[in-house]
Amino acid sequence: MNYVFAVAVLAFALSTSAFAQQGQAQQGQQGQQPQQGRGQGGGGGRGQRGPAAPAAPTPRRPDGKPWIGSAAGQKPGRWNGGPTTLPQGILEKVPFQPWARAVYDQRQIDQFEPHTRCKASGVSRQFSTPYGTEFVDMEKDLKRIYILDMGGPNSYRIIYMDGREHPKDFTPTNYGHSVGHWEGDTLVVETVGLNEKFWMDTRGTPHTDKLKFTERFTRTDMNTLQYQATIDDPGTYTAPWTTGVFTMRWAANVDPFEYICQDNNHGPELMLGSQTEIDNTKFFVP
Amino acid sequence: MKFARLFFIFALLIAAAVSVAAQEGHPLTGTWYGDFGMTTGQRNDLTVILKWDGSNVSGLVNPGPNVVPIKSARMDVKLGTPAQRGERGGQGGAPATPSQFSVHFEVDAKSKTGAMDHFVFDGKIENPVAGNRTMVGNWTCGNNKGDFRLRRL
Repeated sequence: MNYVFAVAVLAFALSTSAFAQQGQAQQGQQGQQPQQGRGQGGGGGRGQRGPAAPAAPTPRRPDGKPWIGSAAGQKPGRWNGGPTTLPQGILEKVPFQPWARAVYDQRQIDQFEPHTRCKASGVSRQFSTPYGTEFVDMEKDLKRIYILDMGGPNSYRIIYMDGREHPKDFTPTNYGHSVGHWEGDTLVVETVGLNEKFWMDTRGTPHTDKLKFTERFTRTDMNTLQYQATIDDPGTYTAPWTTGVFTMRWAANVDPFEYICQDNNHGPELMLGSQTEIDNTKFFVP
Repeated sequence: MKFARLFFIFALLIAAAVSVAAQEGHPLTGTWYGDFGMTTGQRNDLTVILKWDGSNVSGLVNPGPNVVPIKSARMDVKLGTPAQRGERGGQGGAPATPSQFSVHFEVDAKSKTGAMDHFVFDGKIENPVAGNRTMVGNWTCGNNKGDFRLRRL
């Protein structure tokens, strides 16, 4: 009887590990694709040697506006290298309220980031997701642009481009409510209705549900997307402030793929407690 | 008795819902549950709901039929020195010493005799950026005093 049970357990363990390895291999293959893409078109990806070839010009839609993401009729791609620290280079100028500065500093020590617990993380945090971020421009047909997470919780944000206003009353969410418009070649996106269940960047720049987050996307050539954000959150800062300009790089010829954040997660301690102990007192992942 | 039990469960569910709605914002915001007492053997349940509105902290104690609004509350921070994270974090090279988050709140509650008791709670948040942060400290009420310990749900 014990022998049968042991065989059953062993078989289950083998099938589980084989499944996990399969997923890991698949992720590994996908993870290599952006590197191949970076080498094309002279985008200046990391590790590239020799002088970079000039990048192709900004791809444009029939109406003359830039394709922020993949161009219709071409192979899809995505953007890598989003901002990891919104206050980068201007930390001492950020008008933190005292509590917010203390929280920011503390988060440099204790990194309990919700993203590592597979939580959807909105606004700029969406662009420092592993394996990049894809824009799906459906403005012509649906008056929407979608932003797809890859290595995060496999979710997406909708940017409404139909001129609508934000709802007067709503329940705050991780991605909030985004509306966009064009200012010349720059896509300007304003997001409100954000909850407090995520960090705005990987370093824990704090916010409250009073946040209004304005993003400016400018595709300066085929391989370069400039990104700048203005943070207006009277619950956290004494005045609105604007980040520096961050640069994301295009990874060509890569398709989105299924990524289940919970599978093969290498940070289980971050899902259930501190970095030094497991906390099972909650019945949900905090 | 049955009603009281149902009510307790309902209050816990409400408290959990409130805490789920606010995880990573102001460290005080959310629902805190624990106890207070004069000795380790004599404890009383204590539930505190706190909310940061951008400039002030407000809240309730023991939501339910005996709910009491918080008369005043505040959190004071004493900044530590940030950890070195290199240029990307824009931090200096000083060793990490944590900031201190102290908490003060006052409550007027009716006693069993009908008189109003004035409670003063002073404590600190022990792990302010963790989801399961705790608040510990001492309380006074007239000549009575003791300690309290709360964990954010």
